[in-house]
Amino acid sequence: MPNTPRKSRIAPAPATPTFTTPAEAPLHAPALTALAFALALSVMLGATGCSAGAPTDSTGGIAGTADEEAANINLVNTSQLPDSSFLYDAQIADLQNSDSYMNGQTVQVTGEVVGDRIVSDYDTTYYWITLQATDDSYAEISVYMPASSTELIDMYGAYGKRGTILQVRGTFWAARADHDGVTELEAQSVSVVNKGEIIETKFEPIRFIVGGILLVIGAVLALLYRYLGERRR
Amino acid sequence: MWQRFTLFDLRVIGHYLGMLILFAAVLMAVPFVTALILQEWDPAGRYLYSMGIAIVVGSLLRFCRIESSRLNRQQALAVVGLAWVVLGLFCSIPLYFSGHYLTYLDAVFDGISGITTTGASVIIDLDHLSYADNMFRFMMHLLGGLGLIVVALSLGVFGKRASTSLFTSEARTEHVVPNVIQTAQFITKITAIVIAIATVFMTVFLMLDGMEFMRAALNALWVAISALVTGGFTPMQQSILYYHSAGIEFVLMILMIMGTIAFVVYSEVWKGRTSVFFRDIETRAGIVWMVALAIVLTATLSTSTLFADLPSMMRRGTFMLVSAASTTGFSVITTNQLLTVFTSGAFLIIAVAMAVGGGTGSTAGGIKLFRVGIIAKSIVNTIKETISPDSARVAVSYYHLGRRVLSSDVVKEAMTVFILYVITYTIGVLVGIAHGYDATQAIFESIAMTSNGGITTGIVTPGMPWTLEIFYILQMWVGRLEFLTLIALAVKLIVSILPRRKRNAEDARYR
Repeated sequence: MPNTPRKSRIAPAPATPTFTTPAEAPLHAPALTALAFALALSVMLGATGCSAGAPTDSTGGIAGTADEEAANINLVNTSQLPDSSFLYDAQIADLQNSDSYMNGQTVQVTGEVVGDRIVSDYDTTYYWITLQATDDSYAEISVYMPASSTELIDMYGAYGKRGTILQVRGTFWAARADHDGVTELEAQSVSVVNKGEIIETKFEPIRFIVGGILLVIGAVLALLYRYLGERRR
Repeated sequence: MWQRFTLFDLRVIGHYLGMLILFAAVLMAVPFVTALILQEWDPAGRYLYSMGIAIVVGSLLRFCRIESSRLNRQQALAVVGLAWVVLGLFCSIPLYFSGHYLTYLDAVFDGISGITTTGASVIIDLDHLSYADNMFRFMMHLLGGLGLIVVALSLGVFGKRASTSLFTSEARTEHVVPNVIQTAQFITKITAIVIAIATVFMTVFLMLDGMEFMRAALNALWVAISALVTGGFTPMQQSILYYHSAGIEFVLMILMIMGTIAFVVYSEVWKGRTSVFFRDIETRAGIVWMVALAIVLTATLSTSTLFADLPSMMRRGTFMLVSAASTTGFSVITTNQLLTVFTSGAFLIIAVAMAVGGGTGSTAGGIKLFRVGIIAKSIVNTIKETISPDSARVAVSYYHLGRRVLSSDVVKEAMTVFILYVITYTIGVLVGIAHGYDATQAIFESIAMTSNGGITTGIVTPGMPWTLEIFYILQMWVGRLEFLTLIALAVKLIVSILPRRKRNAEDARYR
C-alpha cells in the first residue's frame, strides 16, 4: 500500500437530519443506521491505518505538518535501536540472590564501604572495594572500580568506624569470565552519599571491675585448692 | 552389662573438665591482650569477665577431686566427649556479649563450630567485628584443630599422671613418638612453624595488594591458622573471595592439603622417611579420589553457561574442591553462585568431597580417606576370596605406617563408622526437610555439619529455626568425635543417671 499521509482526524459526520415530529423519525431510521455504520467503518479504517508506517524525513523523524507532528508525539519511532542497558535500582541483597537474568544488567546500589581497598590482579589501575548493604541484611558485593573513584572514599568501615556510604551505578556480573568467574559490580559512576565517621567507644572502668572481682575470686579458689592439696600430701 | 559411672568417676570427670575450663580461661587472655594493645575497651572488658567466669567455674570444679589421679578409659572417654561442648558453651559467653549474635544459641553455635573446626557461622556484620573477637575465633580453631587434649597434654595441664587414654579417646590412634606428651609437643611445634612461614608469605602478598601492615599481618595469621587446622572461619564476611588474590588462594590450598595429612606422617617425613608418605594408603586413596573428583567437576562445570571458561574452572573450581575435600570450608564463590551458577553436578561433587573428607589423625573431618581405602581393600579381598579355591588362604595387605594385613577388626571399624556417617547425613537431611528447606540444600547442609566441612548454602543463617540449630550443633559434635566416643559416652551417661555408690577394685587401682 503506497505511503500516503495518514489522516488522524475522523472525517466530519454529515449533518444530522432534524425531525419536525416524532412521527417522522422512524422514516429516517434506516438512513441513520447506514450512516452510523459508515462512520464506524471509517473510524476502523482510520485506526488500523491505510498506510503501513509513518513516512520519515531524511533525519529519521516523522514528516508532516506541525499539527500532525504534535499529534504524532506518542507514536513509536521504529527506527530507534533497542536499548539493553535498562537501569535497575537494586538492593545488594537482591543482587546476591539474583539469577542469571541480572547478568550484564546496569544496576544502581547504595552501601557502606568496608574492609580495604585491594588492587586488582587484572589491571593495577583498578581496585576491589567491598560494599555492604545499609539495611539489616548486611549483604555484600565486590565492586570493581577505577583508582580515581576510590579517592572519594574517606573511610573504610571496620570496628569503631562507619565507612563512606557510596551510590554506585554499574554493570552487574553474576560470574565475570575475564575475572575468573567472580560475582562483581563493575562501577561506571560512583558518588558519595554520606561520609564515614568514627564511632567512639569510651573507656568505662565499671566493665573491668566485675571481671577483676571474678579473677580475684578465681585466684583465691586456686590458691585454696593448692593449699588443700599440699595438706593432703 | 553396661557399667555405670560411680560418684568417684563423676568427681574425677568434673575435676578434669574444670582443668580444661581453666585452660579456656587462659586462651581468653590472648584476645584480652589484643584488645588492650589495640585499645578496644569494650572487648577487653568482655574478655576480662569471661575469663573471670571461666576461672571461678573451673576452680570450683577442680574441688571435686583434691588429689590428682590417673584417668581410666571410661573417665577419659567422658572428659573428651564432654570437653567439646563444655568449652563451646564457655567460649560463647564473650561472643554473645559482642552484640554480633541474635540469640545466645547463635553464639553457642559459633562457639562449637569454632572448637570443632567446622567453620560455619551465624555471626552478624562480621566486617565490623573487633580484632579481639576475631582473634578469639581463630584461637578456638587452633585449640579445636590441634585437639583439646593434645594442647592440654603438651602444656602439662593434666600433670604428670595423665594417661594415654585421653589421647586415644579423641579419635587419635597413632603415637608419633613413644611418649604421649612428646607427641603432643611435636604436633604443636609443627603447627607453629608452618603457620609462621605461611603468615609471613601472606602478609607480604596482602601488603602488595594494598593492605596496611597490621591488618595484613592479622588477616594472614588468621587465615593461615584456619587453613592448616581446616577450620573455615575467615575474618571477612566474603570468605577468601574478599582478598581477590591468586597468591593467597595458592598458599591456602597448600595449607589445606597439609591439614588433611596425618600428623604421624609428618614425623616420618621429618626423620627423612618420605617413602612412608607416598606408600601410605591414605595418600594413594586421596590422590585417586581427588583426581576423579576433579575430572568430574571439570566435566560438569563445562556445561554451565556462566562458569564454562577454563580460567574460572581452574581457579574457582580447584579451590572449592580442595576446600571441600579438606573440610576446611573456605569459599571463593558466593552462595548464590554455588546454588545457581554452579551446575547441580558440581554442587553434588562439592558435597561428596566434604562427605569423604581428609586423613585420619589430621585436623580434617568426614568419613576419612583411610576408611574409604580400607573398604575398597575389603571389596578386593572379598572378590579374591570368591574366585579363589576353597583351600586357598587369601590375605590382602595395605601400607599405613608399615605393611599391615587387612584384618576383620579393621574392616569392621571402618564399615561401622562409614555407616554411622551415612545414617547421620540422612537424619540431618530429614530434619532439614522437616523444617521446610529444599532437599538438595538440606543434603548439602547436613553433610557440611557432620563432616565439619562448613560450606553452607544459606540454611545456616542468623535466625534459623532453633530446633534445626540444636540438631546441627549435635551433628558437629558427633562428627568431631567420629561417633564411637560420643555414642559410648551417651550410653554410659544414660545408664549412669543413678550412679553407683560403691567403687570396685578397678577404681581403686586408678586412685
